[in-house]
Amino acid sequence: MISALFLMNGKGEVLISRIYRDDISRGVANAFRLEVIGSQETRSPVKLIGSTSFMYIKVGNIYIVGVSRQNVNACMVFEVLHQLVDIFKSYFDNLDEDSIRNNFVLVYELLDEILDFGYPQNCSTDVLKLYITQGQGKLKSLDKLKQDKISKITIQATGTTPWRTPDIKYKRNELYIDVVESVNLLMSAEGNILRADVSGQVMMKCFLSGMPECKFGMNDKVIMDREKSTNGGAARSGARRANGIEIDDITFHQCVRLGKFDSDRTVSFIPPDGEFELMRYRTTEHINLPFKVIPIVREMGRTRLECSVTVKSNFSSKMFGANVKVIIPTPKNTAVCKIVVAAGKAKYMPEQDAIIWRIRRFPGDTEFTLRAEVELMASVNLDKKAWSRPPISMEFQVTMFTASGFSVRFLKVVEKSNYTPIKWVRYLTKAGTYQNRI
Amino acid sequence: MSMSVTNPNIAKTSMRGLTNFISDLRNSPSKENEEKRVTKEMAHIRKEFKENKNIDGYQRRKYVCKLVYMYMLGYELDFGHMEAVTLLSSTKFSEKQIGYIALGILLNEQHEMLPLIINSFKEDLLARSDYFQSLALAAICNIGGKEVAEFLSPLIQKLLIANTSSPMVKKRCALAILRMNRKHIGFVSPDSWVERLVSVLDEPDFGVLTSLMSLLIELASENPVGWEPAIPKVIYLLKKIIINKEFPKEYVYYHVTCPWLQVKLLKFLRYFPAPDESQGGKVLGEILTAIFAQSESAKAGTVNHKNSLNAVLFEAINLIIHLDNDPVLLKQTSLLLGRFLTVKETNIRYLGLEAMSHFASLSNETSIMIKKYQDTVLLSLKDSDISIRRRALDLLYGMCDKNTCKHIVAELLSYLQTADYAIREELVIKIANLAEKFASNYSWYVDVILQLITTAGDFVSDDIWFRVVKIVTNHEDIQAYAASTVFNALQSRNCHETLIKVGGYILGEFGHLIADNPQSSPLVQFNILHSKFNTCGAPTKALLLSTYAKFVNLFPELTQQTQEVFKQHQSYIDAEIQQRACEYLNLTSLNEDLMQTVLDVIPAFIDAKDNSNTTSNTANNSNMINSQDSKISSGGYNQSPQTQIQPQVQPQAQNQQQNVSTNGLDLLDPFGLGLTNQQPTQQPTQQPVYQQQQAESFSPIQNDTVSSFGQQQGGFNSPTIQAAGSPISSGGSDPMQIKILASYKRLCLVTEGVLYEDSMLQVGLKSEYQSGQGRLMLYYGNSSTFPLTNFNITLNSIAGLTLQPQSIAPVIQPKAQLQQPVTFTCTAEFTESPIITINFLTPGKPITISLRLPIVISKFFEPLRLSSGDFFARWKTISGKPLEIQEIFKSTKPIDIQSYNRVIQEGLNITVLKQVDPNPNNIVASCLFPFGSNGQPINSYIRIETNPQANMCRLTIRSQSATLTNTIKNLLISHLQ
Repeated sequence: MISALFLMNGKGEVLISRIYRDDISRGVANAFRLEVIGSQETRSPVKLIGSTSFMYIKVGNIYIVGVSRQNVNACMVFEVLHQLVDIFKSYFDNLDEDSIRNNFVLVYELLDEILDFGYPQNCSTDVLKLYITQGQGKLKSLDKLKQDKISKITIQATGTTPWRTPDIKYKRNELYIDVVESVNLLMSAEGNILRADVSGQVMMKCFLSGMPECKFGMNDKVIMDREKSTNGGAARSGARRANGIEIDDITFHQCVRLGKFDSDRTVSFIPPDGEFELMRYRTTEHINLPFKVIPIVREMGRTRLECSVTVKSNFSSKMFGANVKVIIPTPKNTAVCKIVVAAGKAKYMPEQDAIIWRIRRFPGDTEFTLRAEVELMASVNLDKKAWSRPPISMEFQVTMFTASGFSVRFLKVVEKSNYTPIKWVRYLTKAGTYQNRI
Repeated sequence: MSMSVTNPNIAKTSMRGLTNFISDLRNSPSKENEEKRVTKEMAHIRKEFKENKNIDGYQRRKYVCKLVYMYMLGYELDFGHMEAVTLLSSTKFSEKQIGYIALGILLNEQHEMLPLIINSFKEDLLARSDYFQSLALAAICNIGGKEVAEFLSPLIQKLLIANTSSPMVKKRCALAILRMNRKHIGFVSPDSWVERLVSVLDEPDFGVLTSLMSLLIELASENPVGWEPAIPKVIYLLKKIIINKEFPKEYVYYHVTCPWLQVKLLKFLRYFPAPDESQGGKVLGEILTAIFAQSESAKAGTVNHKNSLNAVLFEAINLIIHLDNDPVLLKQTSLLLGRFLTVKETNIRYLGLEAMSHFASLSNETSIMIKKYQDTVLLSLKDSDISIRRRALDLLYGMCDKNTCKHIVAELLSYLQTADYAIREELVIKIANLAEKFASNYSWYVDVILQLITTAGDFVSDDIWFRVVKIVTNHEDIQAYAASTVFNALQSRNCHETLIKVGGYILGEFGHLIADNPQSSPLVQFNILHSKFNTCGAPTKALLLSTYAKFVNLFPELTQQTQEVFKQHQSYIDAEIQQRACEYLNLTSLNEDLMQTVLDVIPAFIDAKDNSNTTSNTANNSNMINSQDSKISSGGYNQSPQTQIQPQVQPQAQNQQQNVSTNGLDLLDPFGLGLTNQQPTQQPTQQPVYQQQQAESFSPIQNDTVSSFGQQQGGFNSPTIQAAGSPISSGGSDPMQIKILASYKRLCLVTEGVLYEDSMLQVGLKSEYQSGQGRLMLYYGNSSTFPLTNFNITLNSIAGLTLQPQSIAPVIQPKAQLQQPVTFTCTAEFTESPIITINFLTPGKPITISLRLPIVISKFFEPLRLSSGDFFARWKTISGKPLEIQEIFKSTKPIDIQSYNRVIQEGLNITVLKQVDPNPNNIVASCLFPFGSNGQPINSYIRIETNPQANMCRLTIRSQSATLTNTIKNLLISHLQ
């Protein structure tokens, strides 16, 4: 049970304070300011001061703080805090101090709806937008519908499918599926994988009429094995990728019928209208790493550094990586960098203490090399610590490629009017924290 | 070069890049932005320094400035130092200046780069340019460490005395040496170059003189010897300024000529004795007179004018007080100081008071001179500023003498009532010091101190009342007065604890001097002290117990009351009080001679220590100049705490010390009983018993136990002890005691046997019990060869047990036996056994024997049989203290469950319940006591868990009566242990 929510700026001044329960006083915000914002040491997202727990996230320069005096589920609180950010962002485009100050009435209104007596009630932007129509122009289009809709709000918010109204109609019934994966990697200087995992998201955008019943199929190992056994290992299964992938944990949108998933692993749901996240998952086995980095960094005495970094793409030559960025750290006392690159552009950025190498379009199955000579400024104090050699990190996007091997097998849509929607699937792999030690 | 050297102040082209950079940083919206900007700039500067081989002076200067600015913002800077050093060796002033500034900020004394730049310093010092020399000197002051100082100081000293150096350089040289000397004391010694340094005093430039005087004062304050040659010059300088009025115009500050230089010159003279004629002593007198005259004539202008005028004036006054050789000047000074006392300005009043207290301490004449300001000073005590009050107090303390002390002390005492707490402690000490120092008669002194204690008791330290006690003890003439005064003071309802201490001590010692007065009869004295007893702390209580012991000695009629008090405190929680109570109880009830010796009047204290007080006071006064508050307040009483602590802790011990003339008394044996051969005692065989009692009297158990001594043991002839007849704690190690205890214990378990036996008398008994009634037959057998006459028995009932003894014949013939039947009724639970006291006369000697009758509560127990279920059901209904007692004890002999069962079942009439606890090593028992104090029978439940290996038992008893539980516990432990 969240006792209070505070929005504070970077200095710890309270912008918004909404107290849901009377077991805390307004003064706790001050305690938070002193103990967390003011102190250099505290970097944990949960801070216990006295018997009050503060859970906070920082978005830009804004602290969003949930306060509780009970043994509250911390994950729930953080989920609410993140949802809050999404809701605020959908109401006023960027979340910063000014936008909060300008929209404080709206913020209070939202906070009133989202939580009741500290219990989260409704975090769905779509539903909230039905009855909180204040704010900027983007909601004006709803005004004409307002009269009709307002009467239905109660039924909507308390019905079995609060995320969808039954009277939606589209001329073209369309359905988009985006599979977005981000790869996290930590590789040692010798090229051994220390840690690798993929966290993926299945985003859906629905423009379907009526109350469509959808069924989603993916290459989950459990389902694949079961199908194989029911079909008696028939020739059909051999044609596709032999086995499914092992998915470690899956989180579904609230519209998915979990009971059904538990009993026969089918993902069936009535989708909300518009864009939503159908599921989230994570895999840690058999990961296809899209890029391999081979770094050679040599320190030549106290004033020179030589490095050569080779990046190799590990996917089919038909695909390509976009916006590839390699961040090669340099010592703090870097004076001059002489860089030679085969492709893209490379530059020393003193703000980040790194050489940034950008390649717009990185074809599959190729490798590029960067060579750099770094001249260092001799330090005055001789007993200075040696350079800590931070890891090289990468950013990239590869479309139509999944690092986990995840693929969408089918999506069936059944509706009373029996239309056939047009379906689109897209895959994208991004870099999470993709690091190579040097 | 020549351009910038000659016109260093004309700004070179201003550095636009620097200004932009600084404004960028100051305008940056957040900390992160600023950091980014700084790292970017640093990278840029690194690149420039690294790549740009022909970077010009301007750019280098600009970048170094930027780096210094970033460094000052708190960013780490680990390069650029070399660039600053490069700037240092530039020939342009602007570049050199930045180089020096940067290094002054970036480096410190310990920096490893410092050796690299010593040479640059040296070159600049040797340079022809004043500005270069000045820059180098400033940098040496700021960052020069020991090495630099050692390397460059000859050069700097040379520069200071060289004729060619400009005043600007000389000034800085003097300050540089001063700074080096402060950091490394003993750097400059007079013998090496005193003459040449003194010759610099001829320098006409006042700036140089001011700096040089700072240096000279520092050097003279370290060690004035060797700097005398400077005195005539200093006096000449003063003359030049004050009398000849030769000075440059720019050194006049608010119409006062260079006040700083004047002050320094005057201050310098204070480090030396009064100058003689050859040194210009006479001139100095004129100068001082002139200073006074100036201040007289000057019309008070602005605050600054007044301040500078007064600064010189006070320095002159301090010098006059220091010289102390011109009565006219002293007279003037006293007048001047008197005027300062009435000035509105607090600071001046403060200085005036301070100077006056120095003045007062000079001699008698001076203190007489300021006598007339006494009332003004007294008024200052009521000033709103505490520092003024403190000064005034100091001054009054210094002004006080034989004639004025009564007045001043009276004033201070009346002030004490309203004084705030911050000053009280100091005040109390000062009053006490004054009262003692100038006391013409000691009764006045006693009055003063008592008044002190009454008004500010919390601030009266122990030292003060120790002094009172000491003085009263040492002066017979005031003892009676002191006693009656203290007695009167004690009448007040709420008197301070210190007063009680003083009262306790003085009445204990000298109470007899006022005892004839019916209003202060011994009993009244005792009552009045004892009425305060309960509210006192432990040390005071201990002291009062000593007083009571003394009372017993002085007034035998108080014996009963005091012994009552001692008895009450025999088991007091504080060990010191308990010990005193036990010892005094025994002391006062045993031997009168011993008691009289021990509790005799304290002899006079040895006077050698008295002097410490007065000597320290005079020492204090002579130290008055430069002495701090703390110094003054620490005088007097704190000087001899060790000698004064004795009266409080062990008055009797000290007495003992006098008697037996031995040192190093043991606290546990304060009566010196161990030193038997030196005791004026007549019964040597009695001694061991005594000692043993001393040792045993603190054993926590059975203080109430009564038993007798072994009367007939060899050559025993101490009628006094026998007659005393009071309960005496039993000992365990005496064979007679052991025997008595053993027979008592045995008889607790059985119905008949011998209770007591010695060579004269045998006491036996038979008993029978029936539902709360008992009958006891006592047999007294005379086993001696002579008749025992005046035989009489005292047998008193105790709570819960009514005894009805029959009277018996007063004489037992030799080898005959007397019988005495005793009937008794139990009405409630009781804890102790009744005591029988047997008195009789052997030929010529009275004998008293006290015995415990073996009537214990268990004799009245009735069996209570319970099944296992019943037992535990009832067991559970009672819990928690005091109804439940658990005790773990170690058995002295091997545990035998059978014999335990027998003792419990047959001896103590407690029903042992078999098959309740499956563990054979455990005993479960219960009993019924039918005569509970509330008329109800009381059940008791007992569990004993034994551990035969460890020989340990755990005993748990639960009953509905706390008394019963406790009694059963004691019984069981005494019989099972």
